[in-house]
Amino acid sequence: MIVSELTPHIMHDPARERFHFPLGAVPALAPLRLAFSDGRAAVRSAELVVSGDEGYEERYEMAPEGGDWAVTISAPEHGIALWYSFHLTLEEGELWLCAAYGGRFGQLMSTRGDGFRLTVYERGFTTPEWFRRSVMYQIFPDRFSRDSSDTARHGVEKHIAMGRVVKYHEGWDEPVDWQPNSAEGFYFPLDFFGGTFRGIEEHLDYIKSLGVGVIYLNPIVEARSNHRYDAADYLQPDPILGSLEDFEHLCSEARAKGIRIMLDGVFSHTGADSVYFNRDNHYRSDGAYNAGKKSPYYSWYDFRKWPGEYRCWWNFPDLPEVNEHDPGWEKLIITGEDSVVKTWLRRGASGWRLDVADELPDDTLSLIRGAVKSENPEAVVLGEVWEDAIIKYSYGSRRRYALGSALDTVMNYPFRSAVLDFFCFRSDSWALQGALLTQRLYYPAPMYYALMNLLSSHDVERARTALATRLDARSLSREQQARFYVSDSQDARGAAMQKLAAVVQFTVPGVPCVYYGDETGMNGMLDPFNRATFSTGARPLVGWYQKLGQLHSEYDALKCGGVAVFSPHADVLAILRCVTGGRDCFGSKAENGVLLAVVNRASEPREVVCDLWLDNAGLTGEELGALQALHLTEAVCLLDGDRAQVEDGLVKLNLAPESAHIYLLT
Amino acid sequence: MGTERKTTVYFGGEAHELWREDGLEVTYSGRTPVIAVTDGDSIRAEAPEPGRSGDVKAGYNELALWRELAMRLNAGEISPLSSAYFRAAADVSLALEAAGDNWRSLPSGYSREVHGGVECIVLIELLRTLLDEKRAAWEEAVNIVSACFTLRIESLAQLAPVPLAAVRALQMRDATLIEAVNDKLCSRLWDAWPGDWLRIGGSAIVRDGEADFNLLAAYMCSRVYCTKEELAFPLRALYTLDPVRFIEL
Repeated sequence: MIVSELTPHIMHDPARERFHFPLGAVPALAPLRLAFSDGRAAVRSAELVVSGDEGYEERYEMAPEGGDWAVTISAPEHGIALWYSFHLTLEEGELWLCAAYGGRFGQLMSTRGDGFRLTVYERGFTTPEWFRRSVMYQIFPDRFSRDSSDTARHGVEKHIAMGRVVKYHEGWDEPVDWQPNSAEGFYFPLDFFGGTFRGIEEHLDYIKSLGVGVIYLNPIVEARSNHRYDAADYLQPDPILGSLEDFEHLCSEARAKGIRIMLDGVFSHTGADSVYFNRDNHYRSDGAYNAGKKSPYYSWYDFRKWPGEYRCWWNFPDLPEVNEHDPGWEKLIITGEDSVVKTWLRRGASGWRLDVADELPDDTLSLIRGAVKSENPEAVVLGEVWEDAIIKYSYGSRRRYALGSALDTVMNYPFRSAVLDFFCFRSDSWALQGALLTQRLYYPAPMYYALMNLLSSHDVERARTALATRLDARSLSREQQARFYVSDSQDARGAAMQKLAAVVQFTVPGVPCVYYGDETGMNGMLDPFNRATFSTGARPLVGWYQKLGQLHSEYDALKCGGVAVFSPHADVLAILRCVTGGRDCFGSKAENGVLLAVVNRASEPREVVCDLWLDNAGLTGEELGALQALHLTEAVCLLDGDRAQVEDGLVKLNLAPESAHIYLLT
Repeated sequence: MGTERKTTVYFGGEAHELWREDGLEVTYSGRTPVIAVTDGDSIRAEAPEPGRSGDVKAGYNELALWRELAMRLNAGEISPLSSAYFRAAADVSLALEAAGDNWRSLPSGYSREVHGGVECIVLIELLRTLLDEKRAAWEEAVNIVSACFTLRIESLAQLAPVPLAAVRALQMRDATLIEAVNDKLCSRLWDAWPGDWLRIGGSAIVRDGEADFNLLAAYMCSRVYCTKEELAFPLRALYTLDPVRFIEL
């Protein structure tokens, strides 16, 4: 039951330091002050109740402090996702101050409701600074670029010689295969276009022109399929892509241009057609399938009945799942001196994206982190997680991989959803502001500033298509997607919105990730249509992305500055980034600067005033004080030169329809 | 010497709100009438002629009360709020009398500039008259009020909030409508900052039983002329909510 009459006077806001100090997630054992207001002096006593999984509960008596009730506690000694609420005794009885409005503000209730979130992360958790300050470019290797050699064709021949069915598209512009191509009526991704390492290398200058500091490659190891999420040999590059020397050369050439390479590790399962399982006898090895218990890999897999019944990923027989606690598997993949994760780092990679991280146990993820960091402390471990990684619950337990002991960071699909919802007019800027602020408050800062902020990927429809059609691609069958035609007017709408979405992507904390071809205006529904060959669409935005990349490179505030998010109008979102005092929030040197990104999605002009001094938009009190002390007076747009006055933290803006600005405030 | 015009202004009493099929009907009892006599910018009060009744003594006492009120109004022995209300009610009443059946076109002939403080009660008095006497719909009445008035704040000293109880004693419905306008504002503030009671409460017209007439006028007027200092503090929330109406001096 909701008790409303005192609600306006008894409140808690985790985005205000008055009630939650320090703001955001806290490291283990750090002091934390939590408070709530008592505007009518109605509370006689109060208790902070902190709870977590598996019966965790701690209670702390609170005391009145200048009109509020407060208590300072010490965070638990290990990373943990917690919830808290306030148990109040009033004259009329006992009430609970619980979380409401997306967890942002309190609501009085007669029974205990949802708690406010509190993230505690491991002490000493850090993430590589170079990564936090980078722009990422994702490449699906088979589809990015051929080279002038016969590498790919030779690779295809090698696969065919092994006995595999491989289709090679002679024409780069041919559509991807999607039709059922098996006796069972399923589609198997066995068509190759022949993109190579050398092809990527030939485009490094272009990629660099986008401001990119790290390229994320979808799997490159030898595999049967074109996506290579069915690893056949973890230590060999797929011959269609090129040789090991080609890969190492790509890494060194990229590094010379200030670009690092990140790989995709698919460790929860292997391909059935692999050295390890060898279902199809394409390898000379004793695989678990063809050799049974005499295979060194037999214990990797769970056979309910050998050889034909085994545990596999999402019941795909081509993807047998592994036992991540098998010592042999651990040694080969993670812990051995020449393990997979270490070897590829030695070969030039700078980090791993871990496929289906949810399906790797937390201790396995920690092991991978340890192995990666021991090989190269500056290497990155990024997990594929589709939801809020802090509170992800899967396979019967709360995951701990985002609390500092396993993953450096995660793919930020919630960001994608929130941004696309806004620009598809399924939500308003207040919802988007809430989603962005939620991430600011609940992700550990080292992870928050490293979140992989994506709008497209190989697993979702391209941003252009989503914004152009405003459809849920999942509601369409593969046949319908194949026949779907994005009209010219739809594409125009999609391009207009994509420009704005990209501004949001490049100005919020985290690593903006451009999926190859998004910048050239490619459309594409779900897999496999989102994996077409790199081409230029009707409305390319290369210049726009280059400008955004350039600004990201140029201004430290965009890379590592404090953040505040505003919604001055339902159609308008503003993002403030600032560095003051010559340091970022991690204490590293950073150039001072204040930037304000503003987007208006509406088809009409909007006149708005943005109040930069809001005390609960994301900045800490110290950051806000420093911002106020700057006495900012002028805003000049770095994209089009538009100017606006700043007075007492108020910026009045006349925004053209469907427009975006990134103002430098001085 | 211009032309004198007269209208009746009522003080105090009870308002009775009754919802009927065709909307809200408001009736009054126990009000004290005073004749407002205007001539250009000047205004004076006269006691009305008592209606004949069987109870001569009661009529005599009533007349004494009316005369007492008129005398105090003319002598300035009343609160600034009561004085402002007297002027406002007379002004509104005469304007609507002049407009007759064309009251929907009132803004074309009735344009006023207010300067903050208690004189802003005229906005609410016009709103009340449109709603209660012309039976205008809420949005229609609010739009007419907005179109009729411009706010030009002259001094922050006029910011002293007015106890709602004092307004209620003068004109019960005006107090009710101030609360209604405040609710509308809070609803807009809620849309902008859902759940943020701290900010909503701090930006509301009515706080702790007092009404801020400058905020009331700033929320209701079609144009607000003010300094950047006023934009930065007292009007900050309203300015960010609806910047188009604000013009910096």
